[in-house]
Amino acid sequence: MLLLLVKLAIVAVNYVALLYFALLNAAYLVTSLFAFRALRRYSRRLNSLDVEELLRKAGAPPVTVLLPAFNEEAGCVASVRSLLHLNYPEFEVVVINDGSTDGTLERLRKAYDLVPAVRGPTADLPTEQIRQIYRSRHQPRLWLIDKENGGKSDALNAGLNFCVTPLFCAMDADGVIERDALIRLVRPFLEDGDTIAAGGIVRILNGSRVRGGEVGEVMLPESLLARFQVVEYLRAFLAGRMGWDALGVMLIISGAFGVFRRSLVVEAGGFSRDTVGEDMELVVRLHRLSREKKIPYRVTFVPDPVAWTEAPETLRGLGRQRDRWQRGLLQSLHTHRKMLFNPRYGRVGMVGYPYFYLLEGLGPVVEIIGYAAFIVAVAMGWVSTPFVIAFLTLALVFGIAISVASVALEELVFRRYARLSDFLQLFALAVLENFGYRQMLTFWRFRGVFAGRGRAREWGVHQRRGIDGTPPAEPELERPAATASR
Amino acid sequence: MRILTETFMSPPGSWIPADQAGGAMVAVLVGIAAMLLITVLLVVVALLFRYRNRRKAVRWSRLEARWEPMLLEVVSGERPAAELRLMVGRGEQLYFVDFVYRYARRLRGTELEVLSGLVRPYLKPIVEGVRTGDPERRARAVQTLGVLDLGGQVRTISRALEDPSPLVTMVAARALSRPEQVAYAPLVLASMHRFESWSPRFLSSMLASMGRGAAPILRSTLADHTLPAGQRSVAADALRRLADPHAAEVAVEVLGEPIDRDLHCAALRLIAEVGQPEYAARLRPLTTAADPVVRGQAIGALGRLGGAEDAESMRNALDDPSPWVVIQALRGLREVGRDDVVEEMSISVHSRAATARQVLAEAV
Repeated sequence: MLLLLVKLAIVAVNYVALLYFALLNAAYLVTSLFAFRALRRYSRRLNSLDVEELLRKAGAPPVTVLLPAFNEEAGCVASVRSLLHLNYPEFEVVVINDGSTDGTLERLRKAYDLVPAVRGPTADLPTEQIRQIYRSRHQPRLWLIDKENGGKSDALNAGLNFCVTPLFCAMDADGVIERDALIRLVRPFLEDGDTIAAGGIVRILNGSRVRGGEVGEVMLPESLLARFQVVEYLRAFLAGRMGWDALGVMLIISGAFGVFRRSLVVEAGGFSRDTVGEDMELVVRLHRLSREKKIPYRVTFVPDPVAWTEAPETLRGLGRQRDRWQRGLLQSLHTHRKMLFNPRYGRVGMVGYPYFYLLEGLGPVVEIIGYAAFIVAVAMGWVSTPFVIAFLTLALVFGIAISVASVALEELVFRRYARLSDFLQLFALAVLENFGYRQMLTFWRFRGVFAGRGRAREWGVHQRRGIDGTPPAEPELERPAATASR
Repeated sequence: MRILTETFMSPPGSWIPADQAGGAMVAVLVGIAAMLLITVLLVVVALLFRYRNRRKAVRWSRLEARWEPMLLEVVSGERPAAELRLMVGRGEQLYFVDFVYRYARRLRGTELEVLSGLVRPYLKPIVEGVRTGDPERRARAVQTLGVLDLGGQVRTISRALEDPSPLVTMVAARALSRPEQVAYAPLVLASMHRFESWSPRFLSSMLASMGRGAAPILRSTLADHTLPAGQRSVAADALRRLADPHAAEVAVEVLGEPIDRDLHCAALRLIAEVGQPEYAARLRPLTTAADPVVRGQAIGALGRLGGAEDAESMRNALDDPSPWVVIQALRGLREVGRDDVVEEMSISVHSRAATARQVLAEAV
């Protein structure tokens, strides 16, 4: 009887796993097809509206770039430098030093001649205590808020409290954004007044040459782990987010690079301090608030403005990052689970939410248990082994096809990897990543599902080189995982 | 029940009848083969894209290297345009237009005229492109003509204002929003209903590009009660950008209408910019409007146009729940010469004391 029950359970898991693979791959296929169509259209549209002309006519709204920083002494000066050189008519940069214990504050003070200044708050989102506000004497667009440590969300909310512009751009301090990136990301707000949030694309900086805070030659990283992440990011953004945007269900805007309408975010309560996935949680909350209040709105993804970010190059660092992302995903989705399959929330509730919650959120559990159940079933002779192997092979080949398609999309529109050897390697990586790398990701994500709710106020920090390749002055301590976003 | 149990208890795949099991496996194998084929095709297509793009880039570099030195000489008048045209081969004309476009969009005046004359013989396919192809191509054609030959193609571009695609219409509207084409301002304004989704700031900057010659028609737009409030707001903001002194009177009349946030705020901003002190009386009732955004703008305008007698109402506004109203009130107090009130607040325990210190640090 017990054996019968076990067999029943194993067979049931097999069916669920097969259904999961079928649904997941169907979703990838649909988003990829929509992404292809949208990207082709978008690249032609790019030629129709002259970005330089937009800048000259100064119709672009003022923007505040919020740069939360925790222990970023390695790259903070260069990051700020790259921001101050943005090609945008009217903006300011507000760095929020979240109680750094290294030389972040001191380096910035010296580099930019920061002096104490006064700035009245425009909102009162709860945050940890503000110690001092600074302003640069020779770069009046640069401000710094020094505060007690409270986590990334807390830091962003502190920045929001002093934001005076209609739009703000949330960024990661370890990245570089291209000079035209901000005007390109603000374009949807010009073209559609209902736009409340727009996200750009995040690419892997490792291996590329950076000079003076600008990315010069784009090259693949030396580390194999980072190279796999290049392909993964291409898949996630070009095939994934572009497709979701075309379907009208953008649930994620990367915390590394997104522009939001300030008033709505403040009205929604700012960034949540209860989750490590504050970027996704905010976007989901904005969807929810807008639909509940029946406000016409649009959340969109723009594929050409680029934020370059450092990817972890160690298994430990990558594992912690993915563990954290998975926790953040589930925290965000669980908080707003009311939206799941709720027609009140339109396509977001009926399509996007179920996909992210069931397939992305709980999917790693299904996969891992599915692999285990399959192994047991094969060993016990309970499955039609040829059929299941054939089906899993189909899923594997499908995964390879989607990754290869992402590389092809990259060549169709952006063509960032000029070297032929790099381009060919991307294809090889698109195949290889399915033999070990993606399985590792699944394991870390599985771990993240069960890691619990805690540690929401921490920062996600991995060993940083600094964006100009200079390693930090002293070894960095290990930090608990938190908030570097997708 | 027994059938269901047997079906469910069967391993995946084994519930397929024996005579069809082979077919099912073949279907899966065909699926695998198809995906592999698609993968290979994608790689091939991507490589072909790469090859094509490389060839285009090489060709483009060659052409640029051939044309660029001479282009600069033509622009400076050292060479006649005809000599450069001799270097444009058959099949290279559209490349040439694209090449010249990149320079032309940064130039004005005589230099732009020289470039326009240079490419004029090659514009026919682009003129045709305004009516054919997908919206993005049509928009690109309009944009090219708008930069390279606005004077000669103004009718073609004005017809594009009626294009079914809002993108094409927007590009045409932007192309026509120049001082030298102010005669087309009525047409541009008539197409404004197509741009309701566009940012008002963007639209007002576009209209202001038409220069002061467009001010009369913008004033008419602002005064026209039959038009949507959004269009009138955009006209008001454009007039503010133009600093049109005659617009204040029209804006003051708008204040007497039922409150529409965007329209009233645009009118208040306009009055603050170009109004006269005698309009202060019309601003005062709005300093206590229910809408905090309107309140703030009214107080800001009163600060610019009012006098010492308005200090009391601004002082009252220092306790407003909206931080934006408080900022405007503090600035207004400074404008009417009451720095003492602001200083007093800056050293008090008022919840907005920091804001007062910030305003004191601002240049007046």
